[in-house]
Amino acid sequence: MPNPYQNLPESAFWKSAVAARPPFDITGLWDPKFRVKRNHKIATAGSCFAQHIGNALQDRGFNWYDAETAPVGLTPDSRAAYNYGIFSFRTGNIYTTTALRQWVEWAFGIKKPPREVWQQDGRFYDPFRPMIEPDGFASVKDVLASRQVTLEAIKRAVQDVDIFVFTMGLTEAWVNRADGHEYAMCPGTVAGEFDAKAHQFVNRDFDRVREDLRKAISIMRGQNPKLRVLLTVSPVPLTASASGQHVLTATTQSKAVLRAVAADCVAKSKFVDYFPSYEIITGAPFRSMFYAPNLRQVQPQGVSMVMDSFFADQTAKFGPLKSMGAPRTATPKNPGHDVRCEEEMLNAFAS
Amino acid sequence: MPLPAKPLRLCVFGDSHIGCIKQAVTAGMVKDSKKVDVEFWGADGPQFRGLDLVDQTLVPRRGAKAKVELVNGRGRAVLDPKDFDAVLFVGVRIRTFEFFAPNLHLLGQPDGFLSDAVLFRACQGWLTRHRFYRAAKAFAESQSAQIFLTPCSFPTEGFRALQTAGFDLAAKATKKTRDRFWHHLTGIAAKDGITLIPQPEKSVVGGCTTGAAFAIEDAVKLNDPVHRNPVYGAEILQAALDIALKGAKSRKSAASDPKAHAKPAQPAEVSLG
Repeated sequence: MPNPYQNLPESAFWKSAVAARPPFDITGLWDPKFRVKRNHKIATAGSCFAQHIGNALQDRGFNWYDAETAPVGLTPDSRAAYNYGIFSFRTGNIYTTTALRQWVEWAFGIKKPPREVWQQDGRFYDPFRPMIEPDGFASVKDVLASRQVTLEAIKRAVQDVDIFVFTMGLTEAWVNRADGHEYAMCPGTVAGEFDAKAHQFVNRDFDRVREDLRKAISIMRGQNPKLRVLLTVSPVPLTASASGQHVLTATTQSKAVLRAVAADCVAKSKFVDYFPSYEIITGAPFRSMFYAPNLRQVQPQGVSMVMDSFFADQTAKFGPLKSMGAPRTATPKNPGHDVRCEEEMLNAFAS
Repeated sequence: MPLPAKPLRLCVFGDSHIGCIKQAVTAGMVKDSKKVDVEFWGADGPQFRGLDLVDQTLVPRRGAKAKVELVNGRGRAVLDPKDFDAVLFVGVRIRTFEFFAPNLHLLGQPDGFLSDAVLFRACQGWLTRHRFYRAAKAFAESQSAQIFLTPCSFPTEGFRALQTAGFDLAAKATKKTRDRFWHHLTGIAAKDGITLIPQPEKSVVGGCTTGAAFAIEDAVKLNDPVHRNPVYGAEILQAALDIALKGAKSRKSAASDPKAHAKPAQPAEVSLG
């Protein structure tokens, strides 16, 4: 009787699947559960790396869902500075599964968002997205009104999209000791003021990360039963760790927990899948070649490799995609403009 | 006996939208017409695109020369702001509807909100991307004439403009909301040395359209929601003259002040409430 390894495909063996191949020939990392079609509405949220996925989907003609559209007139630079079109809604980075759960619970009225607002140099900042407007807001009222727009956008996106891509980034976070709500960043770093009595560091373990992710997905699926979730883990290391560990070991721990949670969710759910962009960027066979010299930021070549793998694995499983026409735009046309300009001019001047 | 004051030399520049001003002047509908010598310069349609900014002057390419000649009627081949006390840019392909309608629609939603910082940047991005806005700015930088600019008005009511474009919530926009936009637009233009004259509020109906009372004759029959009648033209010209004549008076009394053009006046009509 052959042993269980004897009939396994090449991809199961390190030597044939990895060591004997040039890095760019390492293929078939993903066996997708569901097809991603060009007409599927796709929302992206999460850690920094999710931005790249959203951009790549748009560049390749996929129907990336922009639930919080920028006003007409903003230049591309201003759109980026004010966080329009970065994710499907203006939450800024959602680094943790707890923060995702928090946003989803607020959006669907399961919990009430705190009215906490940070103030600095006469400007007002949202503690849950402190960098959303580079110079903050003019008033508390504006902070809350703007947050409400984002909550409505989350609601719209969750209810309307086919696929929700979430990139998990961190397990470390800062919370409010009294109410338990989690901040997007440590108070006092970008805005606000750190107060050890009010603010507490947490480093979530596997159970908590999983519980929050499952809860968030459960709420979203409750609103949209056809929703499928595609998880990724951000390959971007921690900028800093408050855990007391070396930042490298803290990064490894954090990413290992997130990766394990992703695997657990994929194993237990038909509608949750995991795409291994993390492995493509961080894997030893790739020798850190996709990182910028700071070994944090991912270079465009890395993003390309990730997305090429994404579509190659989709095609390998489901066949090639049909091409689609250009997406519809909502740019208004001035009705009848210049319809009869010449007549009008002649009318005024030719007599 | 004092000599009569020299009339203000005003050039109205633009595309087909200057027609309503020409008609207003011809019909004697401008109350200060005796204090001003109005000259027209411009071209419509493809010929308008054939006007180039060269060394802070506007010069027609060969294909546009005949139309400019027709419009001007005084043989002025090149529009140089130094030849005038004031230049009024009219229309010049700055189509307010394309900017106001989607943004008013956005703000008309139940959760509609834009911070002032975002709205300012949207106004700035939109206004300054226009070729003839940049021409107006270059004229202003020449520090020779007072520079006014009034963009195209909203389309005439009844043409289903908003519904067709999918911005029906803009129909409910209030004066207060519109004024937020005009406040930023006039402020941005002022920093560039341009006095921007907003669409007169009394001509606006239905949130983001122009009242039929200001449309050209037979607008419906001609399927023309864009062009205005002399009543509208007179409103715009008078708004510019109110400021220009005041400016001319104050320039006379401060003739030695080289910064006389530095800060453009703001039209009194713009209520920023």
